[in-house]
Amino acid sequence: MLLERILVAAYLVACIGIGIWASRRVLGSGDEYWVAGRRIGTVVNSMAIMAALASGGSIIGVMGLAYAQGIPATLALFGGAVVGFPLASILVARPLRNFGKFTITDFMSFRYPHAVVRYLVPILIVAAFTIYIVAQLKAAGITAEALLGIPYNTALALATVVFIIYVSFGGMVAITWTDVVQGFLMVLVVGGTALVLVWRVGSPFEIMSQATAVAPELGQVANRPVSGYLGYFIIWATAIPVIPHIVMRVFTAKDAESARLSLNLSMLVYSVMILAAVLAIVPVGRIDFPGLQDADQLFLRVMETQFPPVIRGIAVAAVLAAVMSTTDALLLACSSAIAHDILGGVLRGRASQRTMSLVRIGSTWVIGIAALLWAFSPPELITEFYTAGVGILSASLFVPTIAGLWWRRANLAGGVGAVVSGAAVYVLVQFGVIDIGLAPVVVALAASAAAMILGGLYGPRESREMVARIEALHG
Amino acid sequence: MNSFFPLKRGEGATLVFLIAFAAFAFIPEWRTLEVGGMAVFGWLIAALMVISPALALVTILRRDRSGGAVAGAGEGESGARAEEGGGES
Repeated sequence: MLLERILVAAYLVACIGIGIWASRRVLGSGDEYWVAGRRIGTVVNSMAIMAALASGGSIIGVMGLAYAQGIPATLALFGGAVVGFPLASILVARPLRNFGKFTITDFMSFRYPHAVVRYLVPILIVAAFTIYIVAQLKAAGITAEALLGIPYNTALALATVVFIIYVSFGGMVAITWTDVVQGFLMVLVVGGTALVLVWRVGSPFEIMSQATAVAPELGQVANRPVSGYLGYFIIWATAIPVIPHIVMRVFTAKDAESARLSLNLSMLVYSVMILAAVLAIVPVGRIDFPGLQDADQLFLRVMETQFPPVIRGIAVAAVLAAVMSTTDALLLACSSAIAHDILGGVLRGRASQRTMSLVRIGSTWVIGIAALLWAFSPPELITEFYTAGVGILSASLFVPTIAGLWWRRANLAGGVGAVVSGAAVYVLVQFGVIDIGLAPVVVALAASAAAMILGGLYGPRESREMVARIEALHG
Repeated sequence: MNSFFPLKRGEGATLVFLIAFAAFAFIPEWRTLEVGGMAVFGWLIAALMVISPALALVTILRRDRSGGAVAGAGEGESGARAEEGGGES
């Protein structure tokens, strides 16, 4: 395992190096730290967006979920995310990029200026993204344990410290460039693995028919409740236009059109990678490993049995890349929720640049270490786990964001009501307090929309000045 | 006055098509009907994963070519930021 360990060590050192290089440029400026100076070009931003979305869930998790719950239901989850990007590019990218701030909370508290929005939104972001980060850390830990022989907890601590260092010191510039490297590595490993397997067996259809002959449930969906996979699809389709680590990428783009193009380019690459994983690697793994206890181990078992050590070393680096490219973006979004959205409002004008830099770095370390401690006792099926966390963001933010950008009658009463009711109803349905047989996100989005409509129709009319400002954002 | 800010025609059509395609994919009949070992629902979602970003890209690029791109994207930015007193910088 020495060769694999050297490859992974080299990769981690390179990540830290990029963080240190970027820190010289970003630490003195919020604009540079949070959104990389708004100078990122279309191709680089595309790969960074793809890498930010393609998490450990998109390599380890997608295959585990397809193995355990079948390919169609899994595609519903990942298809929802892919559909979310065209929605984002058409509905939110241009006006949000023209708005020109740092975070989704900036827009929400500009559109609905109320303390509930100002503080509840970042709190929801921190809660949901901490869950998301824990799931990513599990992927890193089990990968390093399985393929490098490093104990789970040691691997977790090592990976966490590395990405905390480069995120806390290098900000969005470091994240962008590490994500580009990580994105290429993921596409190379997943695409290459799928191609090799297809070449050995014959064709994707041949692989599918062989696998479904021995395990027909792999291609079935009728045995699963519609509310489950419809819920997956809706959560991700509605989360992407408002999810903070993707929205921050819109703010990093050099202009609105570049942001729109990069959102969709990234998804073409992402779709090809997910389809390669699900339609080639999963069926082969299902044939070779029919009784896996932990389905998330599937990709690692395939790599162990099908490929030599060098390829396995690159594969570990690719999984770590997937984990780190998402976790770093999540960590920065979490950090921005604390340092910019919550503390920034209190400290602005009173604290020096140096103090603000320390607040940014400190909040990154606090979130990272909290997630690390939780990840020592991880949940099962990571993709389901973090999807539930993301659900609360789509339930509470989708309606007020879209209505705030497109509906002239959206107002403060509707906005506050939509955020609060979306979050509250999602939690109540998710934890079974309310049970009406529908996916939690469907019920919560309906509640959020109802609150927005009632507030907009019966609450005080929005000021002409605010409507004019929103109209200006549409350019 | 319309209650909604106007959406460009091509972009509106793209949105309607994607939502209609997704709704079509979730029709209950596709859950049980299988092709090549997988429910048709799965194949439709797989197709949607490729079609949706490709279609959105074409829509955006056609707007750019026809000169419909936003002129002076930075104007909105500076406007909004100035009004809000800028951000942390």
